[in-house]
Amino acid sequence: MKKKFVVGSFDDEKVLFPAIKNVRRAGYKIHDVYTPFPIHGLDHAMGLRETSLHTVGFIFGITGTAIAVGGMGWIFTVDWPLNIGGKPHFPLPAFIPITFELTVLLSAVGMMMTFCWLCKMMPGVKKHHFNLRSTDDLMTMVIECTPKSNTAEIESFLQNNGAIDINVQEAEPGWWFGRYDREQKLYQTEEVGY
Amino acid sequence: MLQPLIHPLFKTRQFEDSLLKLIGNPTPFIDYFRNLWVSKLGSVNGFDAFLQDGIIEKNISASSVISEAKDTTNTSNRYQQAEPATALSGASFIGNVADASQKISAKKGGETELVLYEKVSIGNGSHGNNAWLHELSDPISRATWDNYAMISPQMGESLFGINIYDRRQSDAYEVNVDKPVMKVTANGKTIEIPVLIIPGTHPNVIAIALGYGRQSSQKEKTGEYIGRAAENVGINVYPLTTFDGTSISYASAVTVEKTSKQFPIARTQLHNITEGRPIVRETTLKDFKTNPGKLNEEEREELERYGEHFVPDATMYPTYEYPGLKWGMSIDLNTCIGCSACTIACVAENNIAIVGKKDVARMQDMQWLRIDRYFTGNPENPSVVFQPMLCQQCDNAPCENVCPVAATTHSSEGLNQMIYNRCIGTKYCANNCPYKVRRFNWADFRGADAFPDNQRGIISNATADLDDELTRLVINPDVTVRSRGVMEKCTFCIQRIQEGKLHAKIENRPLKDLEVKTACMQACPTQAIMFGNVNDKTTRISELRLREQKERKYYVLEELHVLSNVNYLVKVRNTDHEVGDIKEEHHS
Amino acid sequence: MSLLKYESQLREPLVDGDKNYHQTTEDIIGPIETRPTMLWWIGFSLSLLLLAFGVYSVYREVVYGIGQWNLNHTIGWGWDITNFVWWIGIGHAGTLISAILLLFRQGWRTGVNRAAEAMTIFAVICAGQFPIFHMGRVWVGFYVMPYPNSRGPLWPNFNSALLWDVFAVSTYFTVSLLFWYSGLLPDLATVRDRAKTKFRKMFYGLTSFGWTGSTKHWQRHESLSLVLAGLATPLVLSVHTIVSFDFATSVIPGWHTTIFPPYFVAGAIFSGFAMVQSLLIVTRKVLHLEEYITVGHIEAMNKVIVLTGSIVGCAYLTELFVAWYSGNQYEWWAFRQNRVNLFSPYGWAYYGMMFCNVVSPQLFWSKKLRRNVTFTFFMSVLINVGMWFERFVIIVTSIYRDFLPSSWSTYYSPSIWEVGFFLGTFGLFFTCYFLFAKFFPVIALAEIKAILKTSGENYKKKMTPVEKMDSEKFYIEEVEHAH
Repeated sequence: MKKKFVVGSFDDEKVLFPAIKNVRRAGYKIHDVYTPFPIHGLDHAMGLRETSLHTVGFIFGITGTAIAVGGMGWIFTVDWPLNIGGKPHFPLPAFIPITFELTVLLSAVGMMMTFCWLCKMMPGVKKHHFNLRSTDDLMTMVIECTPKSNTAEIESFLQNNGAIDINVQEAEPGWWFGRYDREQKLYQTEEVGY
Repeated sequence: MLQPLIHPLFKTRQFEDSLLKLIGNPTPFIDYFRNLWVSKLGSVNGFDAFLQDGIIEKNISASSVISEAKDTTNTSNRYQQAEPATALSGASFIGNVADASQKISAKKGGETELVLYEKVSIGNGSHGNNAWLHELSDPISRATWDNYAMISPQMGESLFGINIYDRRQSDAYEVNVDKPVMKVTANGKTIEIPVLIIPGTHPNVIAIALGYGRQSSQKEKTGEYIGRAAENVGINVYPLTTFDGTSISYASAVTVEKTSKQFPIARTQLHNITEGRPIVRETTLKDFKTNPGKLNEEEREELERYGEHFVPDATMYPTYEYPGLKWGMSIDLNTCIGCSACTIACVAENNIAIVGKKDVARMQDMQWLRIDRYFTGNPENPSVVFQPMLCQQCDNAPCENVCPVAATTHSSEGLNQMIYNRCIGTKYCANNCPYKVRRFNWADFRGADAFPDNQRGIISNATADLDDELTRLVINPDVTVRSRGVMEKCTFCIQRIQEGKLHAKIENRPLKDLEVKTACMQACPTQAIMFGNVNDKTTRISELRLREQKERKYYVLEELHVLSNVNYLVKVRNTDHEVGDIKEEHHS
Repeated sequence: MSLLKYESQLREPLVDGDKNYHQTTEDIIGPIETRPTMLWWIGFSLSLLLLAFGVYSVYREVVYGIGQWNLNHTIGWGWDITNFVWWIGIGHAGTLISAILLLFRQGWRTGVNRAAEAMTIFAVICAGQFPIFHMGRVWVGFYVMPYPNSRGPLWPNFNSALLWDVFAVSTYFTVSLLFWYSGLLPDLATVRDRAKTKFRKMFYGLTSFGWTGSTKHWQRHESLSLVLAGLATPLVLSVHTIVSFDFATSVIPGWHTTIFPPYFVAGAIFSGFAMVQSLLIVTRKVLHLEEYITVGHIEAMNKVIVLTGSIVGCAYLTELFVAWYSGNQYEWWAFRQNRVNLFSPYGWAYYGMMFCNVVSPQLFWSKKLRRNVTFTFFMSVLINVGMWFERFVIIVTSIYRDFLPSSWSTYYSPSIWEVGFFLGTFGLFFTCYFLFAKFFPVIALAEIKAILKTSGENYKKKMTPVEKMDSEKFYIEEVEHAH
């Protein structure tokens, strides 16, 4: 379902930070701020909560450790005990390398997949881009309008706070499957993009 | 009557059929034979009974056959015939011994003397088309697939400027497959032949093996007519012999000349001495009698701390028990004469591929059992020690630990097992084997591979010859042939062990000592190899290890604690000469 | 924004010239949007030719057997594993630069990390070919994977260092790839959003996974990068440690050495940085990126090279000393006769290694030479030759004469197919690198933008009045700013 947004772009992060403060103080709902590079402190300024992606990494990592030690231990002691070079059936030091590697592997792969899942990112996913220069040199602030919003008022508010290139867009906030060289949508979800 | 009967090979005719054909009798031999015996025995039933029993009983009425049957039934007679003929045993030499020996050993004039000899493998050349024997290393020179002139280190230095007592020069000489070529002229005939510098050769003697260079009258057809193993192998030196009207002389005066040519010689061992490593051990009889325990003093002192059970006591890890059978081997360096019969027995028993000269030259040879030869004692006049080296079946096998797919593991009988169809061919096990006894299938030597047409131009002609339909029939059906890309090694003739155990099981009795013999043990003419169950303290091998030869027993590279299951017995020489390792100091 | 966010002028700028955000985009994305040059085509074709030769060499080995190589029953590993260790060592710099330098907050990594990570991944791909194709039966190579199967409960041997290698190398490859690609996503989106052609829109649209630059995504992305860096740091150390276990856990004199893990890791970083130098010096020249990959970057890497080169030198001398001190005759022989003896068959390799790896990097103590780009290029090639010698020395000179003198090997020199395989991996590596340099941003654009205003030359100039300010006034301004 399409929604209406007021989009204002900034060319300097020094102007962006006070603008965000003012927009939030004024009670407008910031849909998102799109930036070409990570700006430290922006998430706090916007009032976003901390991500818990690292916790996911830890859980996947521990799973890897358990699979490795448990799996190798079970194989060598229960499923298929063999006399290999006179070594004991549960040679813990020899298990360390693989245990470590599996921990890292599961943690990294799990985190990456979780990241893609949370951000709704994968090949073929398409989203609406409010300003194409937001991956180049502009920081684009997008304010979500309610039916009661006065767009002109928001536009002038943004202008007063240093935004350039201000406009109003009707856009799909979610994601869909599609190609960037074509317009058609192959699949669409109602979910909001973050 | 012929036993066992086999089906005719391909489109061939039985010898007896050919005889019948020659005399113009159209009857097949089987009918002819049957008719003959039916008529002699008087009835078909009599013949069938004869077939079934294998013998003709005396009470059979046909008295005419009884006397004929008598010889064949009395088997003991046959063996008695093997005794030396009286003509030989009664022979005595009536000439002047001193004179004769002087004649034989006299220098045959000139600076250098040529000695033509027969190699243990090829003999006078009648085995010149046998690939197995060509690939068998000469006990002393360790060379295969060629004859060459063996020259002394002194001649090597004076003629070619190679001083093998100098480490730098010997290193270069050793690792280089190409050896210098020498021109030998004798009796007006000249040959060019590569040389090998062999310590212990008399300074003025060169020795060349006979029987090489065999070829068909049409040279290019040698492979086809004689066998592809005979193609381009060595040089025929029979022309250098002389005939004085009554006998052939195999020694003559020669002139030798250096050439600038080189020729590759494929050897399976390049380094001559032990470099002071306690690998082969020797002592004199005198020393042994005075202090027999001195030989393995170091080990004994080391192990004394742990007593009888040093294996479990000397490690923090749990150890494996080997209840029931545990196989071990003992090899006596005293009695080993380096004849290499064990190697050939092993090749025959275990279907080991031969690889041809080119691959031996780059040390891709396949033999599971080799006989290492070391020169010891005085470097100017060294002695030789032979050491048969095969898989030591280590209980703490370094090869097993490193295999990523567990293709080599330890059996409950202490055998280091190799699972061919699990092997992925990383060669890691061979690298990690301190004894370097693992052998890799570098190419599809046996035609056992799933890849079609991948042998032509890759494996040697001689190897391909052994793979033809007829020759393949010599392959031992009890042993699998290995495909390309897998590791293989000595298994202590596991197929014989299994057979022995099955026999015992069928007869519901324990396996007897010496019931299972490995092929090498069986072939050894001097009984240098003893194999058996070491858990049973009454077996021959336990007898050797624990009592008879306790003082002489040692393990090669025991300090690595790989717990090898093959022990060696120290060589004891009855001599006043220097024995033991040639040390570095001697080189200078 | 606080004035303290600016970096001192005492530090060299990391981005030279008068840049703003858009200009950096133009400079870095520009080369992707033009047609390949003639030079690119020539280089790419040569790489493909080498690759084709390599493929044929491997074909021969797979169809006819390892006998196509000159290995033997004494030297079971020769050029194959030498090349494996060499490549995997080279593949250490990228992740080290990205991960360890990220954790150490080294700003200069941003100019070089993208190319270095790409190089890591290609080097690991090349490295992986050797253990795969050194197998006699590569078609059953999947036996190394532990999975329930119908051949009875058959499992691999978890005691084998070679199996650890399988896990280490594949994990390293996967994690490096994820790390590299997650960093690429925003930059690919930049290319996508600038794209004019249908192909670029489609291709970069697919590869950028629909990245928008949302603040929440950046937050997660930062967290992902940090944790991946935290994981990759011990991982990068573990990989070469485990590769060294191939040798260290064996019984062979010259291999069985506890010093190997740190020694291998230092050597890996050493050779990896040298390879990064070789590639980047050419890349910055060809793509005109001198302002992003500055002489300062090159000098920083040369400092790492002289440090790791010295560590490696210490390791060489330590193992030599320990071989003598151990009193183990086999170990001492492997060093005294097989290596240190110049006139032994492989003496040349040991002295080549000593010269290239220990002696020559010491020249980098001179600042003038450290900042000389041509000299650095020459040295980086020399170091990689030296590191190849090191692996050859370790592998071949240890096993060619080990315990039993009866098995001492003949002189091993590679067959044409062994050399071909090695050349083929060069072909593979450069094919990948040429494609990467053409189709992907070779510098981490988003990261450059993030440091531009602190470390860019034009921005740093603005620091001059601040640095001349007296401290009291500075403090007052700071406090006023903060509140």
